[in-house]
Amino acid sequence: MSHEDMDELSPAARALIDDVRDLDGPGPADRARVKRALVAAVASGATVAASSAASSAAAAAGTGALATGGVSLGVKLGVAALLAAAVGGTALVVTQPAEEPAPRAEHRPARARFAEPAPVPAPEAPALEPAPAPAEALEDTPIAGAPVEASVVEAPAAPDAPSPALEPTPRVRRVPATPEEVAAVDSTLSEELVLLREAQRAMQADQPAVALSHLDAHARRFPSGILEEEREAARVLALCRAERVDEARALARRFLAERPRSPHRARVHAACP
Amino acid sequence: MGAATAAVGLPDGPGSGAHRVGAAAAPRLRLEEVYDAHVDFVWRSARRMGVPQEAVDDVVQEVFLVVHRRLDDFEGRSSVKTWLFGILLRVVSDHRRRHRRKGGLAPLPEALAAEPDRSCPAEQLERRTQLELLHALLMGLDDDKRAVFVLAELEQLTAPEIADALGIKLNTVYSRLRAARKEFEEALARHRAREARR
Repeated sequence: MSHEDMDELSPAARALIDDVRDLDGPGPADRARVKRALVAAVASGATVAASSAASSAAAAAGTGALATGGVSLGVKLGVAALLAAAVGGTALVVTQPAEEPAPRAEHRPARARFAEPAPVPAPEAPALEPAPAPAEALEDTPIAGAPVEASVVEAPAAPDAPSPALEPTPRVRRVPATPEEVAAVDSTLSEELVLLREAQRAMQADQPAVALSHLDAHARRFPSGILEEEREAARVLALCRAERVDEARALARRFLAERPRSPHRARVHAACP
Repeated sequence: MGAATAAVGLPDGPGSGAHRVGAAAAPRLRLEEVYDAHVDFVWRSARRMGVPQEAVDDVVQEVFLVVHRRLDDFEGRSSVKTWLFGILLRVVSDHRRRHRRKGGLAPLPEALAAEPDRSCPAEQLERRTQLELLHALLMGLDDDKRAVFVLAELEQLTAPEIADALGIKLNTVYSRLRAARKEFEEALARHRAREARR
């Protein structure tokens, strides 16, 4: 700031700000969690029609809108799909994405950038199964193409008075992120997924020691990978299954302490009673 | 983070005004790079603009989903940061409006929203308390003043950058900042006086 133009803050105010302003950022787990959600949302085309008149206009214009009305739900569905892909239905699925109820019966296919709708699996289809999917590269391809009007950004500051057009009516149509989609999205993530899926298969085959070796491989290769949290949760489950109860409990305690907002907390907590 | 930003030619923060992302020549922004370089900024700014802890994930995600759709719109702007802040403000205001209509989901007091099982040494606890004080003082400002104050005093952006981020005139930046500082100082003084009486 050009401080010569303005009064400076008092030393007391300055000290307060300087003392704490590195405290309200995200931690590593926060960054990874939101990134995972974002990657999954983009990969799955977590498509949400929005809650504002502007988004309706955008949808009507055929551009679709990923606006704020239901994004969080869309994002969560996307994450659930990703987690299911990562650690599998038997091991760690906290939310079966396909069973996630949509908030409204009406589904509106409002797609942000995905011209080709991906096949929507039957509700019971596990997200683990590979499915043909349009590959949309998030990281590898420069984002090109016509800009999509964003209702959030374009919307004028709306008056406080509620209006029907502004009612929050999130409508969600989810296309799950299959491992293949994710692979197209991010090769790193796909390598991570391979290891975690191996671990998950081993768990399904009741070979927890093998699962642990895959998890160790993941930990060596991607110590703070995007799926670190999934790996650690899966490790608790595998240790329990391997009857290494003390280790499992210790790890579970650490997991619960360090990841207070993990979606896997309940699973981890219940793993080794 | 800063190195990565420089490597891909994303202008960022103070002093970057001279680099402009050209329409054709400069590398396009990519979502992951923008995220990695700026998630901290978006996150803490969301908190400072009054987004409660339990809603910050959603708000940050929404911001970057908007970014994803609008990467092309960035062209020709001088700073990713100011662009992001403009998006954040709209997402925050949208978010707040929705929650107000739903019957006013009051933000949890920080003490309740705080991560439950983190062990806090005394010094850390003291700093947490100070952070809560800072947030409370920020919430005492109106939205316009708060935005200017946060960008100037916490992010150390220049006045022209703030004008760019908020879409307001330079003179308005100065007058709002002056008013915001005054209110902030007064509220802090009141707080300290109350503390001293205790």
